[in-house]
Amino acid sequence: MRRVVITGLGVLSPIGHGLREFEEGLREGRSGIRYEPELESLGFGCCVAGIPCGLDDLAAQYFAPHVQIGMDRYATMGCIAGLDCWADAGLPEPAKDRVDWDTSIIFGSGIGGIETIGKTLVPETDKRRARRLGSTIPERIMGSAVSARLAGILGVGGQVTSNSSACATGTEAIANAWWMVREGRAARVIAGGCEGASPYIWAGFDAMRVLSSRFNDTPSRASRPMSASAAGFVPAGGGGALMLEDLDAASQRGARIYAEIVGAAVNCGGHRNGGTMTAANAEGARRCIRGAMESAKIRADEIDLISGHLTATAADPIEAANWRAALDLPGERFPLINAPKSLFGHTLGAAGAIESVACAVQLYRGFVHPSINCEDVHPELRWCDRSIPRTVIERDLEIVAKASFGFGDVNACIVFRRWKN
Amino acid sequence: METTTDSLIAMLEKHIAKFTAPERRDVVLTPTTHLVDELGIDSARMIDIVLDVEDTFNITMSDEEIDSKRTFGDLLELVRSKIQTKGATA
Repeated sequence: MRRVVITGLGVLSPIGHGLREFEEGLREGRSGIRYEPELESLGFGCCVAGIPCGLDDLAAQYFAPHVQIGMDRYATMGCIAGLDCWADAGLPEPAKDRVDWDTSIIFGSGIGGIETIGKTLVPETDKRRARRLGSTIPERIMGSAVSARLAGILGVGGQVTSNSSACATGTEAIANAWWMVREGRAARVIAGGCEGASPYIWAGFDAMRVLSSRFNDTPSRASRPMSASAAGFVPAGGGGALMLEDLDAASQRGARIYAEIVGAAVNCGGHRNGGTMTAANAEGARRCIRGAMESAKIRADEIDLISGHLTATAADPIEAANWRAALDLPGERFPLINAPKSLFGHTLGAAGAIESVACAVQLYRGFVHPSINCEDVHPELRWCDRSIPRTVIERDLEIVAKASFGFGDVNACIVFRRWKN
Repeated sequence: METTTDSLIAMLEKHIAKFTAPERRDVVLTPTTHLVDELGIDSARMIDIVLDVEDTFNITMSDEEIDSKRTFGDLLELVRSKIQTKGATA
């Protein structure tokens, strides 16, 4: 089996675009959550969100007008991250007359092109104007829009696909990419996830009453994973991309290596034993975490940091309990655990990817970002209070575990190891 | 709306440019400029250009009429004849 390393990163997030800004935001514990008047005008309970700034201007820098007309904003976000990742990996400008058969793309989304569906496709069709829609609807709304667009820009000729597993999408993309490179089916894979920033994406969650609606006046305090006053997740959009590459291929071209991915696991809890469409089967989550550790051949006490899924819902204590059970470590030896969603909210299909970029950055640069808005730790999490960093910690990390747990009772877990040359 | 040939050409050029890659926009449009081979406009984007042109000039062009149009000159003549027909029946 081949070793798989991370040679490029790309991120467009509510706390910044690009690695420098993103890292600054992580270190500072910057909140990317803002009041969004459109949500209030639509009668949402949650009127705050995490939306990357300046998307329209950014899109104009990346894509010519004749390309943008064929892109929903979710794919725009994903492609920006994907293109940044390619450039960050030090790969050459794609040739217009050649296909790169050695590279694949697994880049997914949870909800996809619903903004185009809601604003254009449905209204025009209902007005009997389907024949006036123009030619761009399929390429904007198809489930594979983002991966297909990225492949076209980069000339990628390996497998090009978009996975979808709700909030586990980004992490699952990375796991699938890891297996692909390990098995020699691709020299490198752009693995990522993206999600748009539209009321149409978020309305259903607001209707479920799972969004944070008590902090509309103090947006930076609204996303509160592991807090006693957590009141639901804060919706957000963005894109994250990682270049997973065969170590030999990376070494041959002198690529910079951020980290190594040494283990992964993906499973589903089967909606049994307490698992439902919206809640995890604890056994499934624990098996996933243990499966990732086993595939990485690591012991639980070797994990320095857990990057949690931790959404600021009632599931947080359950998730922490699952980590505790899976690692089977006494409280004082439990690793550090932080919640990236405390900074930039829940980017749904992008979450696992953006948060994995954060994992790689923390490993590469030797720090642990704070978990903000947790000054009042949840009573059921007092056992791990000392493991939650409230300010940045400068420390070399060896092993970071990232997990995502999605609607559908689906789980994904990745194990990263610091790269030592 | 009275439309001179020059203004008609300018409007069509603008609609076509919207769906053309930047590197192709330097192509000088002549009656024989091939829409696919020289401007990279595939059948899908042709639909978008036709819709824009129809809305601008308040005309209708059928799928059959469009299918046979290969050059800028072909498109120009079709649009001109539609405008003239509309003017004659107004």
